[in-house]
Formats: sequence, C-alpha cells, structure tokens
Amino acid sequence: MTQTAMADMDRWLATSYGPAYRTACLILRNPADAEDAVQDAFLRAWRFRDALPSDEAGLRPWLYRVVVNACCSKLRAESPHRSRREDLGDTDVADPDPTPELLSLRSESSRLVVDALADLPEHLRVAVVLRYYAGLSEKEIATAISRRAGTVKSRLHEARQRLATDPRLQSLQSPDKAFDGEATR
Amino acid sequence: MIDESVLTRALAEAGAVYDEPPGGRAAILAALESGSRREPTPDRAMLWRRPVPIAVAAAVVGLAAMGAVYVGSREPERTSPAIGVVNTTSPDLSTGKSGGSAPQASMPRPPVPAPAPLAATDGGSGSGRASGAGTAGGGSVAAGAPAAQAPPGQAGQAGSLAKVVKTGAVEIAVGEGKVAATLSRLETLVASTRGFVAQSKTQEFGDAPSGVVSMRVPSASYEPVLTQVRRLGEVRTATSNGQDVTAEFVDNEARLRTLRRTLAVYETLLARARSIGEVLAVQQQINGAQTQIEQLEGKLKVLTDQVSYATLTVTVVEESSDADLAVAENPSRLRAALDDAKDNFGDGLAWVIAASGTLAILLVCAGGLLVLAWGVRRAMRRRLV
Repeated sequence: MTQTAMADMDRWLATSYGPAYRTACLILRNPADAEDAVQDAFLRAWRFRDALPSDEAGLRPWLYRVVVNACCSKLRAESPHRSRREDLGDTDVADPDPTPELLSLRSESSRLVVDALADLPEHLRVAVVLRYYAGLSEKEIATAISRRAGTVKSRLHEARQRLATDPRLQSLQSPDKAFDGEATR
Repeated sequence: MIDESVLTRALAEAGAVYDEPPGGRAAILAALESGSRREPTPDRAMLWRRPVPIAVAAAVVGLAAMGAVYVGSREPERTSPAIGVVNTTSPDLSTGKSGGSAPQASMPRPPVPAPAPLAATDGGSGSGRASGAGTAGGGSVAAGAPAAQAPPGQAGQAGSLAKVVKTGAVEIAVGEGKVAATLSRLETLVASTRGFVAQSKTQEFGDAPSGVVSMRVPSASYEPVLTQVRRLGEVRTATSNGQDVTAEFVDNEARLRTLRRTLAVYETLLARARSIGEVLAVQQQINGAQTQIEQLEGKLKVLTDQVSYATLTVTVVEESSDADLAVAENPSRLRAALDDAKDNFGDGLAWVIAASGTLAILLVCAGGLLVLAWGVRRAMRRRLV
C-alpha cells in the first residue's frame, strides 16, 4: 500500500471510525464485538475502495451499510447465546463481566436507553440507531440497509411507538426528568 | 410516541458512553499494511441475491477447471511452484557427489509484500519498513531475503525486512566405515558457522551404520553449508523449503503494540478505581492483557529463532554393497505386480480425465450441430410453406 493511500485511510478513520464504532456499539451492545465489526467493515470497504462514491454524502451511507452488515453478521453468529439469555429472562441483569470502560463511564440513563434499544428487534434497532444516533436521513438509511425509504419510515414509526411504551424510558419523556445538560456526543 | 429530539439526545448520551478503543484505528492500519488480515466473511445473503452472476462465475470456473485438467493431462511434466512456500526435492541417486542442479540455486525468491511506512498513529514503530523489501524478481532465497542474511541477533528486528524460515533435509551416502568421520565433519562444519547441533542420532553397529544430525545454522550460512554437506558424499535426496512468515510476524507485532497500549489504559483506569469491585474488574482485564502479551512475545521469539537459524537435517548412510543393490533391483513378483497395478491405475485415471475433456468438447460441438440442424430444418420448412 502506498503512503498516500495509507494517509487517506488514516484521515478517513479519523473522521469516521468513532461514529461508526459507537453506532456498532449501540446495535451490538458489546464493545469488543463492535470493534471487530467496525474493523471488518473498514477492511471490507478498503477492499472495494475503487467502487466507493467519491463524495462524502455518498460515502457515508455506504460505510454504514458495510457496518450494519458486519453487525448483522455478528448478531446472527451469536443468536443462540442471545436467545438463551432471553429465555432465562436475565436481559436486564447487569453484564456479569463488564469492561472497565463501562464500569467507569456508564450512567444509569444511558444504560436504560441501551437496554431499551436492545429489546427492539434487530431491524428496528438498526433503523433507530442510524436515524437518531448516526444522523442519517431516511433516504440514506434506505441505501444503507437496502430497503425502500417507505420501509425505513414505517420501521422508525414502529420503533418510536415501541420505545414510547417502554417503562424504562418514561423518565426521559417527562419534561422534569429529561436529560440534563447537552449531549456529550 | 416518543419525541424525536428526546430520542436523539438519549442516543447521543448513550453512544458517548462507549469510548473509542485504544489502538482500534492503528489495528486497522496495521492489518491493511501487513495484508495478513483474514478476508472478511462474505455476506451470504448478498451473494444469494445475485444468482445469475454466481452461476456465470461458477460456469466459467468449471470450464477453466475442466480446461486445466485437460491441459494438465496432456502435459504432465509442467509444474508451477507454490507462491510463498518453496519446496524442492531432488532425488539424486545417479549424479554423484555434486548432486546435479543445486536446489538452493533454483529456488525462486519468496514473495515479499511491499509495505509502506506506517502512519504516525501507529506509534512510529513501523516506520522505515520499506527498505529492501520492495524489490521483485527471481533469484535465490539468500538474495531475496535480506533478513535471513542478517546476523542472528539482528534478524528479529521489528518487521523491517522479509522473514523467511528455511528448512532442508539431505541424505548422503558415504563409503564403508566413513559414517562416524562424516558425522564428525558435520559437527565441525556447524561449529564453523556459529551454528549448533540440535539433535544427533547415530547407529554405528550392524550391517548398515547410519547417523542423523539436525543442525541449526545461521540463515545466511544455510546455502554454503548445504553446498558443503552435498560434497561430503553421494547425495540421494535433497529437500529445501523456504516459508515467508513476514505477514505473520508483522501481524503479531501490531497486535502486541495494541495490547501494550490497552494495558497502559487499564493501568490508568486501575489508578482511578474507587471500589473493590472496580479494582477487581480492572485487574482481571490487566491479567488477560498481560497473558496475551506474553503469548505473543513467545510466538515472536519462536519466529525470530526460526528465521535466524535455518534447520538442516542430514542423514548419513553407508553406500550399499553390490549384493544389497541386487536385492533392491530384483523385488518379489508380488511387489512388482503391485507396482504395475499402481502405475496402471494412474495411467487409467489420467486417460479417463483426458478423455472426459475431449468428450465434453465433442458433446458441446454435437449440441451446436444439432441446434444448427434444427434451425436449418425449421427454416426450410417455413420456406416450403
């Protein structure tokens, strides 16, 4: 690989790695899996860099499409474990082996949001994270998940309805207990 | 329905919980640079959505394979060396002491990746990697693997040059009563190259005294030692193998650097830990990281040793007497029949494979002729009507 190509990749990583990693974390709920997925995604994207859109607007949904595919592969690979955990009814139990980063930084409200997201079906969770965390438009999400914009819209609608009825997020919706301060994104 | 702005803020806060992993970007850059990262798993769903291109590709691959089998059955003598691993074997029963063409002279240079200097995010440890590794073309292993020529103490320097593990085996036959002397000369030869004898086994009694010496010689001295070994007797078999482990080496180094950075982060977190639970959790992660670091360091040490010292196994036997040769040249009738059966089976299989290619071509031609005839007949009927 040439030095120029490496520098290009470094610049791309500097701007896109963090958001992509956090997006994968919100989808997967597991930093290690997310790191693997994002690494796979960037390597795969690099393999097909000749086919990448040149403009930033086209590149972004393309990258998220690869990230989402990598996350879905991870989810499918781990689906037996996930279903077993859900059968045991311990989805709300704290992670028995939390990483130090999570121990030191996870706040209660964030945990509630992440838990509520985790209870959403995969297709709804992906749409919500891409729309309200990654900030993709409905059209860009449609590109990212290979579905029509109408499908994305209905998925977002259904996801918001489900989240609205989630008791863990009631505190977020009441004005007096809304999030304090600005988002630290 | 939950408000969009609330959801956006909640997700922003939830996402901010996850810190970017230390060394995450560097790991990607290192994987790209080394080229040793495994290929990402293809998305099967995406593949199955494109049956037509896959069918076309499968047909092309099938035709190419059939053609290769057909051509291969016509030209059985043509061979192509594998990329990355070079293995030459020269059964050498008749050419005398010099052994005909020396395997080290015909060994092609192992492929060397052309790494570029690593970006600054990698801690700078990968800089200066391009020197001497970008040359291409033929030549011997010694010419194409500068790391192998470096002194043993310098051969393990951080991934700056190609890493080639060389191994070889030679069987030589010496005159009657000369096995012990030859083994002694081998030990002297190893000592003169600053190598050492890793294993030695001698059988000096009975009708067929023999000895096996496994020598570890500096990689730079491998070819000269091999040449001198071949001069000690009549070479019966000689095998040389060169394996390029540059990618594995660089990959392990990158993983090691990442783990060390991770360990440093954990140690920082340990200093900030407030409760016993936090201390235990961080300590557990530190233990895991340290274990992985030690494993990787061990792997790198073994690799460095293998690259620095080539392994050459020399088997020394006494030349067979005329009576032994007579026995060897007149095997039993059953043995001869089995050998004939084996040869005939191979010939028959080769004939069937060769015929299958011809048959396939004939079938395609026959099909084309049938279609053509059907079209002509149909056209003639229309004209008649």
